[in-house]
Amino acid sequence: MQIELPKKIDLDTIPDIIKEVDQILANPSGDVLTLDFFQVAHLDTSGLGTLVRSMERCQAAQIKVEFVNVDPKLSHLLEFVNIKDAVDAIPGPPPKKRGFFEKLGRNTTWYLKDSLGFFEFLGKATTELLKELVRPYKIRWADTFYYIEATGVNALPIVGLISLLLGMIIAFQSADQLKQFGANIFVVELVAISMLRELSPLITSILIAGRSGSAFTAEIGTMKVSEEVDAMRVIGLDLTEYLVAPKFWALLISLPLLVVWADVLGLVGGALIANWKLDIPYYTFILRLHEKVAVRHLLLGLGKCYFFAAIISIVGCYRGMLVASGAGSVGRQTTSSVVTSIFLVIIADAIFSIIFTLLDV
Amino acid sequence: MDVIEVNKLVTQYGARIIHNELTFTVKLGEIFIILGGSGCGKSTLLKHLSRLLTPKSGQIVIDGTDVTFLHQEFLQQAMRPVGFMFQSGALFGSLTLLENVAVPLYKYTSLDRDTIESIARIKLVMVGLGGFEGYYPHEISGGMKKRAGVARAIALDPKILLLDEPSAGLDPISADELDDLILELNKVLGITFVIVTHELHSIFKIAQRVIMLGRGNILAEGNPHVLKDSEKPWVSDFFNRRGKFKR
Ligand SMILES: Nc1ncnc2c1ncn2[C@@H]1O[C@H](COP(=O)(O)OP(=O)(O)OP(=O)(O)O)[C@@H](O)[C@H]1O
Ligand SMILES: [Mg+2]
Repeated sequence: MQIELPKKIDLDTIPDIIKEVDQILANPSGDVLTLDFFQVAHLDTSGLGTLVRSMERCQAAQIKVEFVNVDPKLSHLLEFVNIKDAVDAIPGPPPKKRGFFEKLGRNTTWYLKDSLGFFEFLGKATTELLKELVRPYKIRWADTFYYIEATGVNALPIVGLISLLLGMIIAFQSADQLKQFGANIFVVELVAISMLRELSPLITSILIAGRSGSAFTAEIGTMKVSEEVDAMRVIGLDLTEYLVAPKFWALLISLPLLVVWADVLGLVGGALIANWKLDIPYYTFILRLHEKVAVRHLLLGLGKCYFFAAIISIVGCYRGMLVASGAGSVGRQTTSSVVTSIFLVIIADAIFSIIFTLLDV
Repeated sequence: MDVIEVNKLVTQYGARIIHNELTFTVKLGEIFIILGGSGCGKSTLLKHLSRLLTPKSGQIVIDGTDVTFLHQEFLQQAMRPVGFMFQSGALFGSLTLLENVAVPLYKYTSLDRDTIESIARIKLVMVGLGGFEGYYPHEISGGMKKRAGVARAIALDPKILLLDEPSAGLDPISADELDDLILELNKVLGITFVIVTHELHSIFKIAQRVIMLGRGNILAEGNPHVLKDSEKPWVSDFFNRRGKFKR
């Protein structure tokens, strides 16, 4: 069997060569394939790759490949075909294709390991954070203030705008219904209780999970990729103290403040619509709020968001620590951080709802 | 006296073995150089020596303490005599160069701020970065990052310094100055150096002993001036800068 190679072996002529090899492999008439380089004057790296691939395919079919009439100018390039780097790490076994059950098993163990790792991280972080709580002078306040600004102050506009709109939407949606019964004034309770108790803690937490939780993961993840985390370990710096704690305390301080801000703007939004659509003067709105809406709704909403803050910062930091290497890993963990923390916040909120109902508060 | 003893060290990433029963020692006050082709596991070896990674089996003794499987709690104390400069510099991006060098000093000393800053400034001047104290890592070049990494690694005057390609990416003059710095630190302060480098000039200038890694093991060991005329083809090729097509 023989193939006469063309004058140039490059991306233009490769398809023809592959076709010829295909034909020969389809019905071989011997066990040696001769590649005739007589005409070949030019060989580039793509051509080289194709030759290597063709040789591998022939070898798989028990066919030996021989080169003949090779121009000495090309011979040094062809040496690459047989290259085995003399000095390298011992190559590992090539990755195997995995069957369904192997994948199932691997993924299961992976998830178990993942959750175990999370609890280990949670345990370590809690110990360190409790230590700092007892000795607040050990907290890295400069970093903490920086994160309060980043997670709290800088989020004021977006959180405010969204809560204002939310308050307006609730009032607007209920206006028509309430009007039918002449129950206009109840819009105050409706807006106030739903905002204070449920919506502003939840929406603010979800916003902050997307805004700051992701930033925590990306920041720590990037530090892992650039070996900064390794450098910290070599120097002997405690990762929880330096990377986790400032973010944790900052969010614990800023999230409740943001929720209060969201409460205020939600009520403002409700009052605006109540005034416009239901003819309730602002003064009446405030008076009714004062008389009919208990402070406990505000406090319950605020109480919950301490837990939400803890969830967001711990998940964000944990996911950041999981980044292995490369920008892709940072992206994956950031996505996963946001999804996990929003999911956990909503679960926690559901649990609080059940508890509050049982306690009848 | 041996400050580092490595005994039958086996390391791996996943299923892939990087080092297969590596054994060598580094003597006190020595400049010890690790050579080898790209990807043969030099950085990996340094990361095991500093115990950032845990080996599969074998033994690593640092300054008399077996740190191979030492628990995190005790590890920090045991690794105190070791400074590390990463291949990428690994400076803290949110801190200035001065603050970077000051980090270990804040952690391990109770000196006042002014003293720490002046110590840190001296280290920066030593690596030729005087005047750049207030710069952030993203504002300086790759070679300058390396030098700042060296400055941070010598912040606590460690007994052993692990340097991963300190002079790669430096111009010949800066590289030569860095070599002088290494020689000086070695002579004056008696610091033991374990250095990964490819720079032949550096090797011949500063190395007292080299090991050459390859195929998961040590291919050759000894003085570079002797190894240069080694019988083993790859070893002499390395020292004479011969690629495999020139043979
Ligand atoms: N995190 C990792 N996960 C899996 N494999 C890795 C990882 N880091 C390195 N390796 C593999 O281990 C081998 C050794 O890598 P290492 O970084 O130690 O090489 P090196 O000798 O320092 O090379 P260079 O001279 O290019 O810096 C490489 O072949 C690489 O593929
Ligand atoms: Mg390396």
